[in-house]
Amino acid sequence: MRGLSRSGDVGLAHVSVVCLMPPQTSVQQDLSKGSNLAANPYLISKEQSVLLVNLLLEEHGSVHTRDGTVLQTSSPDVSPSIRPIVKLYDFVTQAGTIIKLAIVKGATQNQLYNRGTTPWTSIGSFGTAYGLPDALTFTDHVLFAAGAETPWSLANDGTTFGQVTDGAGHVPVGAKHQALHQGYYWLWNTNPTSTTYDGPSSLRSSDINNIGSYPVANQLFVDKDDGDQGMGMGQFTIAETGISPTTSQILFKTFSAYQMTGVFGSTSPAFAIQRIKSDMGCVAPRTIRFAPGFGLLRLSHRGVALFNGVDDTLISEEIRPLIFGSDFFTGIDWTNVVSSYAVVVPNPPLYCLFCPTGGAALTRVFCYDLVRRAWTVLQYATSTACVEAIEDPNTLPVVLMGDYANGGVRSIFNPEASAQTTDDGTAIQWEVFARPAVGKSPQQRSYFARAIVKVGHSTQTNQRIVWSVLLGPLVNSTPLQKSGTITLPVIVTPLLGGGAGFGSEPFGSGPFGSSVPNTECDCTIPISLIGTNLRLLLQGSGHILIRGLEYHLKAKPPARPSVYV
Amino acid sequence: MSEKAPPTYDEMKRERAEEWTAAQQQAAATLGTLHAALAAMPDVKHAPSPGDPWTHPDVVCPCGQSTFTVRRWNTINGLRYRTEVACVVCHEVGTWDWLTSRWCA
Repeated sequence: MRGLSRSGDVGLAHVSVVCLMPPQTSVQQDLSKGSNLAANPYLISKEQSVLLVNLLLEEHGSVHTRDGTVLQTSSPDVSPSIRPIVKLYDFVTQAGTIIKLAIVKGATQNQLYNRGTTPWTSIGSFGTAYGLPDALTFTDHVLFAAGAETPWSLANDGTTFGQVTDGAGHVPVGAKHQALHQGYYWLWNTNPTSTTYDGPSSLRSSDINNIGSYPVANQLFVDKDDGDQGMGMGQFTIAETGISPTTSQILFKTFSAYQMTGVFGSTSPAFAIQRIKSDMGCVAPRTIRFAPGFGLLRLSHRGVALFNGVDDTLISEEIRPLIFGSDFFTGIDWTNVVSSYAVVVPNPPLYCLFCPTGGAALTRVFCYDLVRRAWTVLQYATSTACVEAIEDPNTLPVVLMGDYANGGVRSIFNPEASAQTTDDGTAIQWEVFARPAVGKSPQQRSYFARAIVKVGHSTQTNQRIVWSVLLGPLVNSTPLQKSGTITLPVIVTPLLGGGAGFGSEPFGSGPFGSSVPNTECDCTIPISLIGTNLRLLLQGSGHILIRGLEYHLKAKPPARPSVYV
Repeated sequence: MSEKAPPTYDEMKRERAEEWTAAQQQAAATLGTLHAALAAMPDVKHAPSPGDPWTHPDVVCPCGQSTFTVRRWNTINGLRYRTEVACVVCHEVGTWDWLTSRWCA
């Protein structure tokens, strides 16, 4: 008790009662739900952050810096005439030879190279400059969809390069998209304008196992001259116990999609094309990717959509401001959205969507964790023109990026890249914009004593984490804020003493090889400020693994948080 | 009241697998119904056999004859679409378009 009267007052005691709120800890130990930019930041889920940049969600609940890039080879172009690498493909011949190919886009025509030689060997030139060429292997040839020109083929000698022919004289005049489906070579969107057998809505197929025959009976227009055009194809198999697997081909236009079953002339099942239950098509043909166990993903006019054979679902709401723009963010460049590319990374299971933000170069990467259904955003040191998952026999799959302006072919998401803490020498800048910390409510004041960052793995001596905190409420143009730098006192290795991992002998050595799992470094951020809510921003470069965030605060009694005169 | 713990990675994987299986079942059932209906349609059910002689009152070869062997019988959504035939007399091969009722160029 305080304020007990001393002079003259009889029998009255002035008592002040002070409510002592106990200190609180606000813990975010699980960061597995990625970024959410679309919701009120105080309403995002406890496992979400506002934005994670250059971080992946592997090791469930933690975030860690993405793999770096490793330069594999470079095109023979020299500055200032370096052409974009618009297609990467490995041709595995029937004899087992692997011919590594690359297509670069010139001002008037594309050029095909063997990128397996140093310098690259030119194989031939296409007739036009098409920004989205495609390649597939069929009948021991590589077939190229090259846009508004008859498709090309490369024989298994790696040098015989020419356009496909048709003895009956009905060779397709072009193909923007192609697919190998049920033993037939399919072409979609075969001409900018509709003619007798070709057009933007024309679907054609070859004879079975024959790239030299394109009968006119194997051609149809899908919703001909509807103002739209073919925007890619995707395949997946519907398999159910007791029923033969049925392979479907999904045909996309910009604002619609069709499910095709059977082939021309088949009766069991009969050839059918049905529009799917959706108002979304595809705006970027090279973003169409099938993820086994999940479905067919692509970029549509409403964002990223996932078709599982029944439902077509929009899955990118959390990152909508970065796709379409908002008060805070510039969206992607929708005038060049057609150049977007995507890849399904096998390990970890991710869908990575590369989008342009100014021009055709792809600079913003949206990374979707397929199991966690969570998004992070990646940025690379060089801009990209294409990205491919390369699967060669007897090797682990590797993801390769083709540069837009630097002529390089770089690998990501493979063991070699995982060991990299840089993008070919350029430090990887990462960022955590954490979920706001509050006491009783975002409108009520609390005393924020400190924040703690649990670092599970770092690879650099004296690694630094730059932090800044902003506290509400805003009462003038400069918010209450504080910033500083944490320098890790040690390199935090995943195993104690930096030991090696799982031993090569199943018995006789411990499961962790020569060591045991290490503990973490708990870094303290001193705050000691009063505010209604606290926003923590962490930035750094190089490899880091963050396993949790914790805030120590003490809520104050309810009161007006700010006074306006 | 304690909050429900967020799902583990294994629980999420299991959820995704269950969702995929359910979608596959529904898709297979839908396609099965569709294919059964198409298989019962006359143009599919009574598709001519390749190699057997075939005639149709609307289909006449430029040589004047109307007996053919069918090389391709293409339907779309159960309805006849284009038929590639060879005349048994002059052996000319042509494709008849059922929508326009004329030979394809």
